[in-house]
Amino acid sequence: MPVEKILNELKKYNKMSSRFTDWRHIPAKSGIYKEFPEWVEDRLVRVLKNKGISKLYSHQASALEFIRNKNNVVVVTPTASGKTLCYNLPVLDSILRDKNSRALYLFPTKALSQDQLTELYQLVSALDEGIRTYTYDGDTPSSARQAIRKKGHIVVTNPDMLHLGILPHHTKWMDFFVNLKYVVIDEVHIYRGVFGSHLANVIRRLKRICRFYGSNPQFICCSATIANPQELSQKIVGEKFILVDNNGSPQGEKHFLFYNPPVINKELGIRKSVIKEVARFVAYFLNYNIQTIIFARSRLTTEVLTSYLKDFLAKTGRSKDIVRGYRGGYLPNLRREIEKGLKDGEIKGVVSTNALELGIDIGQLDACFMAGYPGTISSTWQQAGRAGRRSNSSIAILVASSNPLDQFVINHPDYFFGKSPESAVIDPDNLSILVSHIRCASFELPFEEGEDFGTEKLRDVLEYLEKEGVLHCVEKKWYWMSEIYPTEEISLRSASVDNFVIIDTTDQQEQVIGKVDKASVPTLIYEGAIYLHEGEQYAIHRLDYQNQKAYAEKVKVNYYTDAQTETNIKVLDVFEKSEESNMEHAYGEVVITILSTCYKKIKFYTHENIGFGEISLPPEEMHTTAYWLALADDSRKLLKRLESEGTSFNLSSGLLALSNVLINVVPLYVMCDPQDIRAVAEVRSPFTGEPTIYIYDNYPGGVGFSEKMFELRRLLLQAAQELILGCGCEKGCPSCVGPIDEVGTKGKESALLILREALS
Amino acid sequence: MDLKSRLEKIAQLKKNINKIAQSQKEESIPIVNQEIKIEEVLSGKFISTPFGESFIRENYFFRDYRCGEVELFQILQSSANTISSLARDDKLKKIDINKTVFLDTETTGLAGGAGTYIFLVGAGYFEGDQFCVRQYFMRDYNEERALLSALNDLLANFKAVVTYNGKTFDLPLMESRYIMSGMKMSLKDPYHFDLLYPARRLWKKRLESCSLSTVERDILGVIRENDVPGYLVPEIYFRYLKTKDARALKQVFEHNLQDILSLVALVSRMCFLVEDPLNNTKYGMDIFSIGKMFDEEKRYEQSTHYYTEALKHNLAEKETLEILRLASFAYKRQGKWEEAEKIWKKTIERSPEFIYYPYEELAKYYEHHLRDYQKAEVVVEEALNMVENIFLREKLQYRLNRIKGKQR
Repeated sequence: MPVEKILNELKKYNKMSSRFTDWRHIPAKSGIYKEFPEWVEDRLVRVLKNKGISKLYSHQASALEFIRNKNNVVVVTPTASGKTLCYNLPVLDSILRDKNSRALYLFPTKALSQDQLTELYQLVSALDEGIRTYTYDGDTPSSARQAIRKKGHIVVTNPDMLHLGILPHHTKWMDFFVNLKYVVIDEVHIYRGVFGSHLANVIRRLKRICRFYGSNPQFICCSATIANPQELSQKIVGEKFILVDNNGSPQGEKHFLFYNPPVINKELGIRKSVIKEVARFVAYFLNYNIQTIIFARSRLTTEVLTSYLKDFLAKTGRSKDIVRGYRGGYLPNLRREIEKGLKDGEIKGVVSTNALELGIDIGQLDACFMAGYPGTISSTWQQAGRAGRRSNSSIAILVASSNPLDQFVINHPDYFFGKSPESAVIDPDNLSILVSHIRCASFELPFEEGEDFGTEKLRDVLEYLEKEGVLHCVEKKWYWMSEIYPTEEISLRSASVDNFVIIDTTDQQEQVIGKVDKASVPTLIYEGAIYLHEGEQYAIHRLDYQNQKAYAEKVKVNYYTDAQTETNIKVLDVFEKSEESNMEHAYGEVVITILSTCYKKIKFYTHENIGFGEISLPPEEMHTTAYWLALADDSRKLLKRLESEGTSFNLSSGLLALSNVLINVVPLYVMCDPQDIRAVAEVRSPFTGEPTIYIYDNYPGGVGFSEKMFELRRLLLQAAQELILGCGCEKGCPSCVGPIDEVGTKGKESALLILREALS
Repeated sequence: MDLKSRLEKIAQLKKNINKIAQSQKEESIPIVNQEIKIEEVLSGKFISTPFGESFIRENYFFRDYRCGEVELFQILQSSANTISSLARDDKLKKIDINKTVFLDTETTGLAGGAGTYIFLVGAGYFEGDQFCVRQYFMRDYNEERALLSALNDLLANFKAVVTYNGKTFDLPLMESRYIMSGMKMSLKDPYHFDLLYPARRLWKKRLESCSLSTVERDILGVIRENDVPGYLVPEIYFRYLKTKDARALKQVFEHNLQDILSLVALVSRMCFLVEDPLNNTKYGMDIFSIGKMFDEEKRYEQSTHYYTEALKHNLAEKETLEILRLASFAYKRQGKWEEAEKIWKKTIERSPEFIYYPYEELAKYYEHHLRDYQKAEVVVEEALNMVENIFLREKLQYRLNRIKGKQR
């Protein structure tokens, strides 16, 4: 077996170089099977048996029983363990019994819902019972929409479409809602932080509409491994859930390797490039014909790696097409083609961003490389799970970059293997989010006295909205009184969905080759950029910002481009401030500016810098709210005192360390995801004139975290202090102040000194 | 902190952030709270329904009433066949104007969706020798069911409905309101004549827009005085709800009433126009549009007739070429090849720029129909001398080779 061969080679190599910092062997596990329950429709069992599914895995059987007994269920098992059958089976069964029965499937992205449909389609067409399944999203042609609303048994969509396109028009969906039996929320772990809080409110609205039409659907969720899938599902749906995690699918043995590239510059501590190291390894794997997936951290590295691997194939006289790239921004047809190629085995290697981390069906592969630590324990396991055959061995290799977090993880494998994956935190009653959905709900159906929506006193919110003039109260009912469509003002996601298209003009005919979201324009498609697409190079020669179009021409150059961005924070208004214990705390309105000013031309392979170019683009601005903490007016005295106390104080290390701790602590108190907030530490802030740490809501307009941080400031600082003191590490780790490589050896101590002052 | 003050605080934050957006909206007229009831502003009556009272205003129009340049009662001379062909809907052949209701709604928004309410419905119908317009109004949201119920009683009498953009807006919205109120609309699958679509086919090229107000002004010659623009209607209703001062609503009622009258006039105007275009319009573009309508119905004899008539007007070159093109194909489909040939030749002669299709058509005609390969060859050669585009050249070259082959 090629995998065994390469394992031996790797072992030999390890003895020689000892670059592998860990090598875990996860033994094979045989499957646990159960018969189909008696009650499942014969027609369905027959079709599944024809597909080669003659028995169920134990977790599938448990899920089915719980669902049959009217429980909401959340299924948590590894990738490719047959999760989708846990919901497809009961849903199809219910439709076979009652042709009026309807189901709603929610997937976090359009790409996923497309994929889901293909799989479901096979089952449905094999059944041949006239069950109609449709996707309903922004791409659905309006001519098809009416038929879908009236006739679709299973409607597959995403939260944004439910929020914008379905709920506000529920009367057109009357037949659907009256008969809605099941709501499926797949990849429920994606709904963390603000996104999850939004979804929970969209579900509240959905349930309210169902009640209006007299239905009470049952919920089925699926999740990747996180610490709290059951709690998360319950919070999103607002009902009790049963957790099913008795995975019964068989697993081949797996080798999980940690690899640290060698140091090439001792003085500067620079290691060999993660891209080159991974390319070298993968080339080797390709020689053995081992089907491999490579996860890269960004779209740019994905493309650079793809280019390197294609070059390698060309040099060795093999077809370039056996290695493909995969990322957001590729057009749907291209994605489908790549997914199919992977399943067929025609494609031997795929380089992907985390786009393939989610449940897109590409089959199971032999090997997985992670070019850089994915950032969370949960994602790392999810990505590693892409490799794993039922019967054969598989390999997952994490290759560290020079980034401090990577270096910490790679050198402390026990930290990774011993820790449970992250929790998903949401706060459906975040006032700002809650109120915006109460507006939407009022539009959908007038509120009546005695109704509930979330845990806050609904009546107070309604009266407030009445005062604002958007609701009108008659006979204890609150009616929508505005021309504004409230859902359009509320986006469930932070990133705008505005897309720029990239148009290839090489043949004088305009052809769209890809899309880029607005936020990535300054880093990917500025004029002068080399836009890489499946290893091909395109020079962006014109960017029509207004019409969201970038014109590109195929080129052949020996470099790629990398934009340099700067983030600036500017305070516009202070809402409240307080001076206490040598510190100034405040919160207010800020504007975050992200500006690209220039790009570097980087030579392929050597990665040397061979030139610069200017970027002239309007800055991306975001108005939001921030909380900040500044050393008070006489900070110079304070600093002197701190410095005199010990040799271990360093201001910039301390600020950075403290902001890292806060990013870890704050989400637990303001109930958000670490991704929802950002910290900026400035040794001398232009606004306060003092050393300052800013923490801002990473959402346009803010969602109220800053105010909460200001309110809870003392508690947060105490928690930060406890966390640092309670951490077993010596001088810093990602669980507290951040790795030493990032904050320096004095970071931990210095942060504690600042905290001592702030809490005195 | 209690919830209320937290909400206020959020509002404050939002305001700070949306400063600019807010500042534009703040300039509303100061509110003076003086309750003036609808019945003090308009003469109407209250009728009782199982859901409470509903306010109704009635207006009657007699035989000699004119809407702009059109007599209202002329519509009774319109033929159902003409209406059906205007609407491209065979079902409308059964339309009976005496069993038809003319509908227009005033709403709290134009976006649609479950939070858009209908607060005023105008329904016009012929009754003996008068035309009656009933306007159903809800004084507040809690009267919606009463309004819908009263309206249902009236609608039950009709089999057909005439609207302007009612297919996408008014009727779906009405249906939605009935569903939200837990009722069923009595007007089920009516014959629906939505005037927007034929208006677009007839006047899109001539008028600046095909909104009812433009069509009404330019086609019917209706001049509205003190009219409220449609986009202000929701705001007027909201202000009334807040102040209870119904005075500004009078204009909305008048606006709605005029819309209904214009619907009636527009039907007869459209019918006259397509039944006897030459005596009912002075515009070449209208005649062109009518020719095109016949064309789309595959009635080529009529279409070529009107194309020829349209060409007698002094139209812009672009339009003239377009008419010639359409006319030539209509002749071709009738088998009137000589006529078609004349146009193709004429087009080649008159256009300073290269146009591909007449060459191709002539070549096809000579090659396949007349089997005059020499003539065909000459045309293709001529085209090859003119054309630069590589794809077209390929096509022509292919044709030329084939023709040459046949000559051997």
